[in-house]
Amino acid sequence: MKLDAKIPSGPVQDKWDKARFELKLVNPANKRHHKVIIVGSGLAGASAAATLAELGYDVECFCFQDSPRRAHSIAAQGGINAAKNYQNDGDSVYRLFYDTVKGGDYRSREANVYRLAQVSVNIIDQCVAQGVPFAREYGGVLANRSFGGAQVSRTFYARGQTGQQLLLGAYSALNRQIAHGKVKMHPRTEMLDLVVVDGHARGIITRDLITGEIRPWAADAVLLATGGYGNVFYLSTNAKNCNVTATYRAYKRGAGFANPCFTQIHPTCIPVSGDYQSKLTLMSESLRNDGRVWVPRNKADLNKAPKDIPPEDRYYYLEERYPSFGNLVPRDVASRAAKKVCDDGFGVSKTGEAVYLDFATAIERDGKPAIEDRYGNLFEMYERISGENPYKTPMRIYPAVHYTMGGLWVDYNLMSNVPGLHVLGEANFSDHGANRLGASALMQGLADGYFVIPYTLGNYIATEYTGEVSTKHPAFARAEAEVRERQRKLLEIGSKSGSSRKSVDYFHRKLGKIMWEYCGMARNAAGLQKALTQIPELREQFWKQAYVPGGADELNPWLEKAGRVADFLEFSELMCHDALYRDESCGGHFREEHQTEEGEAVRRDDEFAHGAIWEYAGVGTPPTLHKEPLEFENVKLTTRSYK
Amino acid sequence: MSSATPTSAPPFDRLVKALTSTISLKIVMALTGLAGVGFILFHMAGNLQVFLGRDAYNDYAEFMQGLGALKWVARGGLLTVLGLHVGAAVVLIQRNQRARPERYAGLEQKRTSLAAMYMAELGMVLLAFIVYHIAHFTMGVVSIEFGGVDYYALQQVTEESTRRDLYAHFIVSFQQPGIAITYIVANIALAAHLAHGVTSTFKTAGIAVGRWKLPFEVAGPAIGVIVGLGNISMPLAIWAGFIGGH
Amino acid sequence: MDIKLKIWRQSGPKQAGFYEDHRVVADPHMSFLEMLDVLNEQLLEAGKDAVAFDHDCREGICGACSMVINGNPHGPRAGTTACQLHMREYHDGDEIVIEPWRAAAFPIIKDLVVDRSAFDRIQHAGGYVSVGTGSAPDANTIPIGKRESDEAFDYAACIGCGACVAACPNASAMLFVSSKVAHLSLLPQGKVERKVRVRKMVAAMDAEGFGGCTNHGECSAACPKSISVDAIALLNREYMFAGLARD
Repeated sequence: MKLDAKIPSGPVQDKWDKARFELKLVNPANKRHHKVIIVGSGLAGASAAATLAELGYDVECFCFQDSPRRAHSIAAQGGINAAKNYQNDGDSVYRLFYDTVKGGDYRSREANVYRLAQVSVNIIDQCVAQGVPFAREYGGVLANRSFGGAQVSRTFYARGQTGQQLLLGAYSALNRQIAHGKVKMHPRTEMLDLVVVDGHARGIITRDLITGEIRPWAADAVLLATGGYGNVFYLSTNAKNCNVTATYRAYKRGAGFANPCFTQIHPTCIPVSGDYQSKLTLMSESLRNDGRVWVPRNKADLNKAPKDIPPEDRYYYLEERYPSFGNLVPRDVASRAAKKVCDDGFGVSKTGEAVYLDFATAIERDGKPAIEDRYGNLFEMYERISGENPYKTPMRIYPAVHYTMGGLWVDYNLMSNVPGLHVLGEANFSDHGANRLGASALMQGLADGYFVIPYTLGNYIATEYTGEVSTKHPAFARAEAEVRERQRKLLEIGSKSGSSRKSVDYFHRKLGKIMWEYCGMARNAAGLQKALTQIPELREQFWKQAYVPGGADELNPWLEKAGRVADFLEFSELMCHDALYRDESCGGHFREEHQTEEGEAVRRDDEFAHGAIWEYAGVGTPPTLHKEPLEFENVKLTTRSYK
Repeated sequence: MSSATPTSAPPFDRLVKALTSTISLKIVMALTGLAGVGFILFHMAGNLQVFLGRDAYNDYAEFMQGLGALKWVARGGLLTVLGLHVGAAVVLIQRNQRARPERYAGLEQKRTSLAAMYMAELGMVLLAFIVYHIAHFTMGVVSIEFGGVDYYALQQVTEESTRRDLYAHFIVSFQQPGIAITYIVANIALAAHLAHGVTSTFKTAGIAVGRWKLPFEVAGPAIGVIVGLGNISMPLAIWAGFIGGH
Repeated sequence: MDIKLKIWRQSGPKQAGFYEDHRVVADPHMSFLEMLDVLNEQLLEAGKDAVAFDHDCREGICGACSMVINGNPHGPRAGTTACQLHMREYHDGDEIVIEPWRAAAFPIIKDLVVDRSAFDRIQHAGGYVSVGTGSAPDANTIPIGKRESDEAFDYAACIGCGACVAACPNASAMLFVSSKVAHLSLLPQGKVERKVRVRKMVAAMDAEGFGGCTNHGECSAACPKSISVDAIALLNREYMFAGLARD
């Protein structure tokens, strides 16, 4: 596996300019002859599809949802960062860059992050022009708020529905191109394999989720914008249908998977209430701007109503442990702190896994109307789900899997090691290192789609394009046959399993428990080893007992789910290998062997200041490791301290 | 299936499309409805003169009958308005029915009113009533003979002239319980039709929005009640012997 | 709690549908969809075909879930999607009837799953501002009053679930179309194309076979984002002023 990050030379400030000049262009008249496949229609996919179509490319866009507007970007609540410095509070491109690299615990690529910070300002302009109704001040200018881990107010937001509004903006741009016939949209169509011809990604195999038709598609380049793999934990804040299949299939076809163990646990989610729980709901991080996190100081108080516990008996653990950032410490720090107090037996729910997020102080200070204005819809949502009124009693929250920083390895041009295969948004690994800062996911998705790929894709086509390939090429038939065979096998298990049959969810839940236990918020070598023995056993059981009803030629949600869970059952092993290999604590990856006496993460820069990129070697065979050394020319590696 | 609208339809097609779009037809309903309300109020005001006695009422009738060509213009106009209102309604109702071919086991209604749910049925009642009403009072082909007397042809002899005594026809007609009940029922239907229709008109016209919404939501039922009570007061008064008593 | 269910089953778009009875033991803290998950798990472990329904984010924003619960699209709670409805709204022994959205423009694909691509096609017709990537001026160049911006947001909050169509006695899509039109026409960026937009979107709406609005207000009552029926009046106004503006 050849990994060349293709980072332009020169000072970090000039790299993107230099790259844009050096990247080869495609003759405008020729663009329409180049077909581009885009899988996924979230922020990254929709923005890329719209922008590439505007440039003239012939775009085919696929999503498994019934409409591109339902991609999971829609659920992002809090906001989007941009180094506009509208608040005159000391922000700059360089500061956003610096904060992001530091926030990522120095495991991201400087050049990519700097470019992200640079284009962040254009994103806001673009979205406003599309009619995204960002929050505004009375004077008519855009409002900002500060967001987890940042000491400047650089987050733009649209109430608690920023992701929705940004996605609808990108969706509207996409619709315009669909109306012009430049994008052909294929909703309810799932990518099941990548087709590689002569080493280049030249197509995909899809299943029409309504008719069940399996079909090959050929193109000149393939873009994956298929999101993250948080659902490997079963319970996560991801949408139920989010999955790893597209990126995992690409991995099996030779694309390197980078840092799969880097998962982000979001500190403020509604805790699990029972075994039937199907997903976890995030409460925006912005709540930590006004909410104070605490647990009782004494175990005797655990059964008391929170209002009956006097202030001196409350342990505001974030404020006490991190006086300068307090409740606003980055996500990984806040999550681990919650886990620690709960592990110590101070959790405030029946399951022992919850802490209080209390708004009493803020309500007293600013009045209920002000709090209602800021968080009204979030409070309502909390009440709907939990049945408790957060104006009167503190919310109960607990960390939950939220985002995955790991993903397919890409170079500076967002191209994987398989030429022609580009990866955008959460699906790639590039910008957030070991921990993503709040309000940066939306920024990255849109940066990749609107402002990076339009330049870099042209370079691939201008320099590496190898001529037209049709679906008649034997590689397509081979991939298609494999997809059909796998589907046949999945449908066959049920007919053989008889009374020992179990639903696919049964296995997914079991896998989730293994992953949460051993590869969740805190990991250690022994636990990961255990996971690595349990996962193959579970996988074997799955292929014997999983029951998939119905047929292949119809809408069959259980067949869809079975395929996705089957991939999770292989992918989870890759995650554990990576987590075991990375013998240090950094960002969202906390290895219990590497912590200070106070329980803070200890990074090992001498050994692990690199991306770990894995090459597929067969199911059940440990993957092959490759490394991309990370060079820090601008940011000094320090111990992240939020004290 | 990428775009449901042809981008360059010929101008005439475009005009037809624009005029027959759901919203255009709604606007037709609203405007013709409004004209109808104007007529109904005028008509009611005219008829209420029955409370002023035989002379006043017959004066009014004579004036209206004497309008000549203008009367026919007005009748033509009213018929056109009615035709458009009914025609647009038929097209819209058909579209609405086609839009939901399969019924629900039960759909709970939360905000709408009975009047709104039965606008079409109320409209049909009113249409039948209009036909009867014209046959009765305008054309004199039904319900004109009582006790062997053709009240429609009856004359009022005054000092200056001799003229038709429509007051007598009016009074005698409503002394018949069957006719009075028919008119009362029809006017209840009219009141309900207006209660939703008038408010709906201003919503369709884009006026009943924001702070103007509430006034217009009150205006519809208010006009319905006024028209209903005003019209029903006449048969009731006659029945009770309040007017036209011998 | 013991719940009786009467669920619409239909194996394909052309097949006849019917109601099927089921029982499920639910926990009051479960979401409505989790209750259906439990039912489906029961069916699967018994080797039967489970009930297909659309769902994804399960946090009330993607707009995928779409079922009429005892005659109410998304169930009895105002401003709440089916996925955010919880079983604590119900009591032991309750019978719940679950149906799909019913509208000619939303053909049933299977069980409770319907095809809502008509909404996408209406958006293709003009639900956008024609601005290419890169050609936007600085975001603060055009000030927009907080009130206008907030109002635009209220309409932009639409999740495209189709409950408005499901609830409307006429299966009209006016609330959906009007919320998009109102959102864009309230903002200076959207005003440029407002006339063409409203005409094209209304034409597309009609072409899809939705019914017309008769101002019942049921759409707004069913809307999980509580979008005001004022949007429809705004749409009508926009449409009248658009007249026969050129494309």
